[in-house]
Amino acid sequence: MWPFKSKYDKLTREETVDAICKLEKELQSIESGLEEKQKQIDGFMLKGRKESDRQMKLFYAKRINSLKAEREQSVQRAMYLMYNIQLLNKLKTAIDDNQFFKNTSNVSLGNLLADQKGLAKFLNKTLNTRVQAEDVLTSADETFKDIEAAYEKNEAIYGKNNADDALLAMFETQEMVESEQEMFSETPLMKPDTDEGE
Amino acid sequence: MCFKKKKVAVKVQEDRTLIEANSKAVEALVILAKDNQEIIGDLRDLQEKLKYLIPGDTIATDCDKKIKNKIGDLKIALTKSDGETSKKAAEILTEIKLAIADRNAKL
Repeated sequence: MWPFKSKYDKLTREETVDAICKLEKELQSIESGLEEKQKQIDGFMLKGRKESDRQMKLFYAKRINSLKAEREQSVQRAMYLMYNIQLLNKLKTAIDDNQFFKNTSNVSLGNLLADQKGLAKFLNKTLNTRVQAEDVLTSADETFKDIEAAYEKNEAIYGKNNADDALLAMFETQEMVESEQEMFSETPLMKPDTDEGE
Repeated sequence: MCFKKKKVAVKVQEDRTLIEANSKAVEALVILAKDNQEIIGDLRDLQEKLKYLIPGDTIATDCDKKIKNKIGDLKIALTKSDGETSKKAAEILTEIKLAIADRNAKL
């Protein structure tokens, strides 16, 4: 193992953050400078249009061109700074990722998952516990069914005796008579309706 | 090469230093916030909470490192917005408060 740390190993997140902040401030100052230059250019353009003297017009023209050149330079610098900031943000993210994966792999539960044999043993044990618990329930259910099947209904309480039989026969007869009466009573009712119609 | 396991006391001392650094870092954020009283108020509250955090072992140190990273991100957000209230800055402030609450819950 190489004992000496590389520059990237020594790099801290704070240094990256400070570098980004510094560049952001520079970018902001360039932006405000650009706005200022643009205002000056617009001002000189207006003056140049209004000016009647040719020499003054030439002066304004040269001044405007000089400001435009400076503006162009500032724009180039701003673009460079933006790109630089983008890369530093990527570096910051890489540092965070590195720390994240280091922390996550060091978490004790994460280390447990690395032990595949232990994990398989634990899962098998869990499965056996589950099967045993289910077996207890199914055995209990079968016991219920067996006991219920062995039970015989008490005829003295739930069955029919002679007196009950006689009454049941009388009920059935009564039902038959009533239904026949209804049938015969319907027929005479229909005739008066047809006579009334004629 | 000699490997030496750090004692708990040393780890707690490191965490204490980290807590102090975080609290001081918020001072720099107050300056970046310029005249934005809303953000300055939030930052002062944050500084109070950070100052009185109880130093701890590995778990506390990990939480404090996370808070430190968030403070760094808040620094960038405030620099970008030039002290103005921005959505990003508000989000990061909320995340820092959440990280502190999470830390207190774990210890």
